[in-house]
Amino acid sequence: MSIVLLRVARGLAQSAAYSDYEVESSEAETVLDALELIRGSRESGLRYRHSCHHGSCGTCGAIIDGVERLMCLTRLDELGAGPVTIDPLRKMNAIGDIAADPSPFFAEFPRGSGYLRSSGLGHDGPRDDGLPYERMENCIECGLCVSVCPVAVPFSGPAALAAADRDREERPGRLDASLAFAATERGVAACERHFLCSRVCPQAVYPGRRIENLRRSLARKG
Amino acid sequence: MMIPSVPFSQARAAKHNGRRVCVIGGGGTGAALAYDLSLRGFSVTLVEKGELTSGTTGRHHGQLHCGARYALGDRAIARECMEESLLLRYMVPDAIEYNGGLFVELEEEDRELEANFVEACAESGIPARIVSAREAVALEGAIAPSILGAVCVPDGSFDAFRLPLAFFAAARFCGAKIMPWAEVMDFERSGGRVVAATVLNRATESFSETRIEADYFVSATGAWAGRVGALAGVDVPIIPAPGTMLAVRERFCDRVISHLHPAGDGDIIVPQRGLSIIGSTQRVAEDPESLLPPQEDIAFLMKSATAMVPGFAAAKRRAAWCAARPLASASGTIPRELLGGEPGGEAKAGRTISRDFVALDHEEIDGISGLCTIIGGKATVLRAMAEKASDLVCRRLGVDAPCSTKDFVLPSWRDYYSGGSA
Repeated sequence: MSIVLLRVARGLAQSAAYSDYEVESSEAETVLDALELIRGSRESGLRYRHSCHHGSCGTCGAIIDGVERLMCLTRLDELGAGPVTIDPLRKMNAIGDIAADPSPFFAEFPRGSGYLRSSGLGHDGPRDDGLPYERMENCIECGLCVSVCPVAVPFSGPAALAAADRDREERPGRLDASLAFAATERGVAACERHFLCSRVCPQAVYPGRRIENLRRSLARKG
Repeated sequence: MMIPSVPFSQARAAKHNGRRVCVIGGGGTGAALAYDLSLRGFSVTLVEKGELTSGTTGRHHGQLHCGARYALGDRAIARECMEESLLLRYMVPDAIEYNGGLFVELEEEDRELEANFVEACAESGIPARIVSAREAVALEGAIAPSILGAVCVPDGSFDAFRLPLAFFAAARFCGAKIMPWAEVMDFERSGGRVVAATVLNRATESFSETRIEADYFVSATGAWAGRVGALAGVDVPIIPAPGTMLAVRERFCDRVISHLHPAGDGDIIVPQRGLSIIGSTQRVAEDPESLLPPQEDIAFLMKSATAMVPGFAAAKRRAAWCAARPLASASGTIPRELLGGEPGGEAKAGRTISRDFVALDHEEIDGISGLCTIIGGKATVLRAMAEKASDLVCRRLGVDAPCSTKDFVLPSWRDYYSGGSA
């Protein structure tokens, strides 16, 4: 049985105060499980966002030992004995502790951007109602890509541009709007090709590649 | 049935009626209730102790129930699921994968249920179609070729975070004040009536206490309803019933796969994005907080999933988690026979309770006015639950305002945060 020391940011991010908590790694599988135990037994006021606990909602992003990750998918046994530092995501509105309000992140998305696409599983024909099989997009809008991106000028950000590129590719009705979205000063021009977005994305959306797609489409358009 | 088709930009809340309602609990029920009441002209404040949907709502496996699962037991509930699942499909289209469902027959006794099951579906208004085992495997190649038969029904999957968030976005557009990170610490009573709540607001740097006055309070706190009721001095006979779910990193099917047998543990596989989720088990607990999934439940779920979809066994695990459902208990205490037990075993007793929703009117039951508790129900019928609860609020406050939540397509969940115009 081993003990992991978690060093959790407290208060508003700027104040850089931390509290230490020891957790038995046998009792908690993930960082989120560990915070649930800490809040339940020791620190009832601890603030962190969470909802689905399986990497679908995108609410529990944090910076764990300096890397943007989802807390619900980060296993304690990958982290060693610690201290493991947990900080809130950057470029959001601080609420306190690990919780950050993603309003600035969602404000960047193209208005009316779609979220359903063809499911991609092979079927002989359409479904019972004659329509194609559908599923939601991979992007869970967790904001890890935006938090890690070093670009310091006004920028729509990797997630919003990836959404525009999916629209360009999958929804012909939104082609022009997507290219116009990418062509503004906040669009692809602001990207400095660090590709950290693609590295931290928990859903293999590869936003960096999506931004390159948009660049090529804009160039072809002339 | 009228299909909701009016874009939200044309939604108009009724003229403000001057009555204030405080909704406690930021799950799916609270979200739909805040929206419904705001549309009817109430001034609504919703408080949630953590982030929205952080209790039970977000941890749902995401099956959009057409009602087939409940048809044998309760036709009225099944019919309501069918109607509500269709409404939701039009109200929140982007948060639903509407690919249908397959009930698979694994054993001879499942096969014997088939005719009654299809008849019960028909009587509940659910289009159910018998298919041979071969046809079923042709429809969804990942299901076990050894199945004896199957029935196609109009189930779907929904995003358990984004669907309720669209209701929150709509509520906010209609003027509701939504306060996450705000926990009710106490209620103030005056002459047998709840008149105010003391709320600890953690969304500020130094936590602050706020007093919220309202003409009516609705507790939509699910497995936490017993605790919230106790603060107001009423006994709410609810116990937390944690259920475990397991997700793997592979999408095997587009349809929801269910085991055709009387509802039990580990009998539903829900596809969602690139994942498949098997749910669930059911136990009982004293405390709805800090619930983590027991290892034996995870092993049981893996075995149950593999019986329906053999590929499950080799798939990479994504996550296992636990959600506290509210379980009605006449005494408010945990029946001894439900404690402990094996998954799929004794705790099953909890499944015999009605899945219908109940509004406990504390004026009628406890002689304390200005407060009701809504419990039970299912995620799929959140809109209908909110309609019934709002009707009760209207009756108690003498307001005559019809429900209009069936009319409008909801705004995007993104609008909850971005605050964009509808």
